[in-house]
Amino acid sequence: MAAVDQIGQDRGGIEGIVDSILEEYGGVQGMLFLVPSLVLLAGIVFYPMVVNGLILSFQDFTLNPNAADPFVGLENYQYWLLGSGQALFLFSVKVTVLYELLVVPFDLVVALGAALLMNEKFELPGLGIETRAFWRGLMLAGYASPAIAAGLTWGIMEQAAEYGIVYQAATMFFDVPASGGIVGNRPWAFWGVVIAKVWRDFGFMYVVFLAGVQSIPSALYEISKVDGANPIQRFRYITLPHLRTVIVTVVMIRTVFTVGKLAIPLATTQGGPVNYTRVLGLVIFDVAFGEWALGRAAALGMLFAVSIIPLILIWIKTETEDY
Amino acid sequence: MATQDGPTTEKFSFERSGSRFSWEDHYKPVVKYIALGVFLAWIMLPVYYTGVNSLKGPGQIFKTAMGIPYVTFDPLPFGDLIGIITGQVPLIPEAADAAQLSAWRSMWDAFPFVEYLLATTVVSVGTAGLATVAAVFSAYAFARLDFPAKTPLFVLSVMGFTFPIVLLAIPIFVLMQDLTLLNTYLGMILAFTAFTLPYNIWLLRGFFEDLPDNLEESARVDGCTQIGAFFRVILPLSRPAIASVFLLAFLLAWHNFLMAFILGNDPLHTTLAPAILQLRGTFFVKNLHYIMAGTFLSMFVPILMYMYLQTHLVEGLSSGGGVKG
Amino acid sequence: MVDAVLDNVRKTFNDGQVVAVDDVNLTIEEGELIVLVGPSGCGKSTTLRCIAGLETPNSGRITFGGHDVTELPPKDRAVSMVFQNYALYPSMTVYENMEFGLKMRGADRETIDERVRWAADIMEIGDLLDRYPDQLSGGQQQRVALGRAIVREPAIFLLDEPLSNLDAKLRAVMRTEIQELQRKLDVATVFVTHDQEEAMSMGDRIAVMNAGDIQQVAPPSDIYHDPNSLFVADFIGSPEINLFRSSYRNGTVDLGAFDVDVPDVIATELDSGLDSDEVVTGIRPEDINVVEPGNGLLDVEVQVIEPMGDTQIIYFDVEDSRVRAVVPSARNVTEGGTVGLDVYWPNVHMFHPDGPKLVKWGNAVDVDADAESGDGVRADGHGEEAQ
Repeated sequence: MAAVDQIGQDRGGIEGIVDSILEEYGGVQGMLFLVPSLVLLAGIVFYPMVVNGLILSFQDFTLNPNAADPFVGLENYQYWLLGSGQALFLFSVKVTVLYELLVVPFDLVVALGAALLMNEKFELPGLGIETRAFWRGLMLAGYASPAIAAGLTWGIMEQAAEYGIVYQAATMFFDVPASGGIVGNRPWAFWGVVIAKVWRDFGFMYVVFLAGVQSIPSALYEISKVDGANPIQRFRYITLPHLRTVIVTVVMIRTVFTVGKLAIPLATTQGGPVNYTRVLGLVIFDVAFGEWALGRAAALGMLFAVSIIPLILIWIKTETEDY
Repeated sequence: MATQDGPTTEKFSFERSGSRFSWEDHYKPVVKYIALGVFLAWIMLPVYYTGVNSLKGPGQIFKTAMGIPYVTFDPLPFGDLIGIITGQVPLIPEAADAAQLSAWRSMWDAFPFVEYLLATTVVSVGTAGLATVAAVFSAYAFARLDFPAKTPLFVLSVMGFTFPIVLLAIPIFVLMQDLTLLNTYLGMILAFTAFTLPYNIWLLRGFFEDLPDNLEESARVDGCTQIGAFFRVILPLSRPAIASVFLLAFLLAWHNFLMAFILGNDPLHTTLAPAILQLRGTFFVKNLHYIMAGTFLSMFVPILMYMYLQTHLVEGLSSGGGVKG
Repeated sequence: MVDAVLDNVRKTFNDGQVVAVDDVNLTIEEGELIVLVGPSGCGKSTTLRCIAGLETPNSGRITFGGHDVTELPPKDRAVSMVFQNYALYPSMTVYENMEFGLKMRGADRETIDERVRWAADIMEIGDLLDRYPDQLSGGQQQRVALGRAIVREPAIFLLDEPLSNLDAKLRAVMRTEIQELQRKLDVATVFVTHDQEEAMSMGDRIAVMNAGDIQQVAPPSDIYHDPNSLFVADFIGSPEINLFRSSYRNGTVDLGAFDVDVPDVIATELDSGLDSDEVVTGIRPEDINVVEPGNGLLDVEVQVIEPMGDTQIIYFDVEDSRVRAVVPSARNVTEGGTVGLDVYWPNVHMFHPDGPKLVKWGNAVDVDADAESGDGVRADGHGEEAQ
């Protein structure tokens, strides 16, 4: 048999040498795979974050790229923490927290409802054609849309005008002032932003919940029916416990990802009326690219970054602990 | 009722408790279709609203925002598009014609729409390509290879995704200004990669982790090297997952407003998302139908992609998107 | 024809904190089917992976037909392997799966086609060649995995629990098929399983592993009738062997419910082997006989009867322990009834409480009066491997 001759036969040549190096140092091979990503990330994330971001927060930015930016020490930080920016800073922190507290739970309820609904069958009567896949896709229309487009459309629909159909509908139930409509009056503007945000965002949680709901063994529902549980009890004692870890993780993800987002408040209300819906991210954006006070904005960004790092670390820890 | 004599059938009543109308058989079929209707009405409202109003003139929008547009269908947008490409219709219509054209057609005139669309496509494809190629390798390493400092390197790699983009925007703006890459596709692609690459690493790592354990080993016993096993066995079977991740990165770039807004301001070098916001500032009430058309298009392309993606997406997001069952 | 020799192979994980394979010596003879059996986590799969080259031992040597392969990557070892989950490449058809190994080794088209069709023919999967793995049933996937492994004429054939994902009936069929296949190929084969019944029915020889150690290597009947340790005796056999914690003093073993006076030869063995008066007595269920009450060593009440067809398993309590006996179905016993117990002493084993076997009654006391003293009775797991 030829088998014996095959043993120990090496291919030789360069390939053989490379192979033997790689077999010898498996760890190096893993590192080699990382090189493209790490080079890219180092160049466009780590380097600018540390060098440009951090240093800029101690400088006064000048628009002329050839002029050096003078160092101003802690002045930028002082501006936000103690100086004349303090009121806006504190207020926008409050707005951001409130925004999170409204958006995330709403997101959760809507997404859970959509997932449960889309787990049902929608057969065309008589024809036996299952239409569920199509509806499942449509449910993602919001998540597929750019946040700017979502905010813009909802903002237009919430204006006090003939074409402001959401405003028109709202006036049937609520006393929304005609000057400014939903987007121009407190407290309506806040709800106007929240509804646009939830419309745009709930798709992520919906997809995750749908997968979660689909993974619940149907035998559990059958046994609970034999045990005499009603639909609400089935939801309470089977569906919810099954989704618990998923819900916790997803709420964490959404909290991390919602903080700092600004496109929807920007497009819906431009942060108004006055600063009523001006979240922290929007403040940074305005200061940086509206007033071109990049140093001040960088300082505020650093304050922001430091305050959300614990949030990010908690999340990453839960994600990597199975390593 | 139970008697003292021991179990008899009298212990059981075998009678229906409660109404003969059960949730399962009688209410649920009705309720679920009502719920579906309400949900879809809410979800499709902005899509319908922008869609129909993009086909109306401003006057018509003010009269009936929800109504079907009154159009003569003379200038179908895609008819024009074909005309423009074939050279039969001039890119910029003559002023006399403009009044008769629908919003879609006059978009080309009022608004450098083709340029925005082109820029958005180029940047999105470039970003998705770069981020996907780089991510395939490192996600594979994180999922299936062993090397020192794996966890810290992973945390470092995905950090960029969890960080709010607004915090990256200022340093990246300064960097791109220093590199004179403002208003270039390359600058925008690199900047977009800052947040799409970590996302792709994250998703693909989940996918690779879920592959059966012994595939590479089987390939090695069959005569491959470790690297050979990756290229010959793992990559071919990952094609669908890589395609999904490519599309998701494409959409992430398509969706992005902030980076595009700060890095480009001429129509050839900025994307649709900042463009439609600028449109609101300059044209608002008079040209509402243009905003509608731009917004509708910026939604419509990704919606089609998502409809196509959704089956992959459920798997992708739930395995790799940070959620473990 | 190739044999494989493992010489003091040691494999540790986590920087030596976990010893998976602890200085194992094993010879797989040319053309032999050897079954590695043991509980999960005993190191049997790691041993197999060391043979395949998927793991490199920390120390020791592996040779195939005299060639040292310890440091060679799997591709250069000419082994083929079947995995528990089959590990068929999902993106390739059955044909492509099977030709992959040959292609990697640079075989030409005709050879590949000829070999694939030959293997497909043997495995009776000729009509599945264009399908993808996810279009196959579990049994068919198993056949493809086997076909893929034999296509290359391996030097060593490795199977890692290949039957554990199949249902009971299919498993029985595949057992005999693999045996026939192995005989046809006449190639040294290592078969890993945790199922002692599978091991007993398949192996030319069985290697019983526990905690990284090979406890005993012997043909199935020797493993069953002459286990060299408490572990092997307990692990092999269904229903399990009855083990009695007993005490030994002055030629008498006290099993709790009854005493037995042992012959002098056994007493000598026990005296020299024990360091306290504790001894474990092992009696296989079929060596306990049921007799009329009063005629046996003691009378017990039958707790449960499990009819097995031609035999029945009878359970009763002796002192605190549940005892199993296998008797012919014809024997008339009833649950709750009283029976007498008798023991076939030549098949009784005495173990040191720490594990090693001290003596088998029938080996020491020559039943045919052809005594040879107790030499060679003390079991030695690796002894018989030396050539």
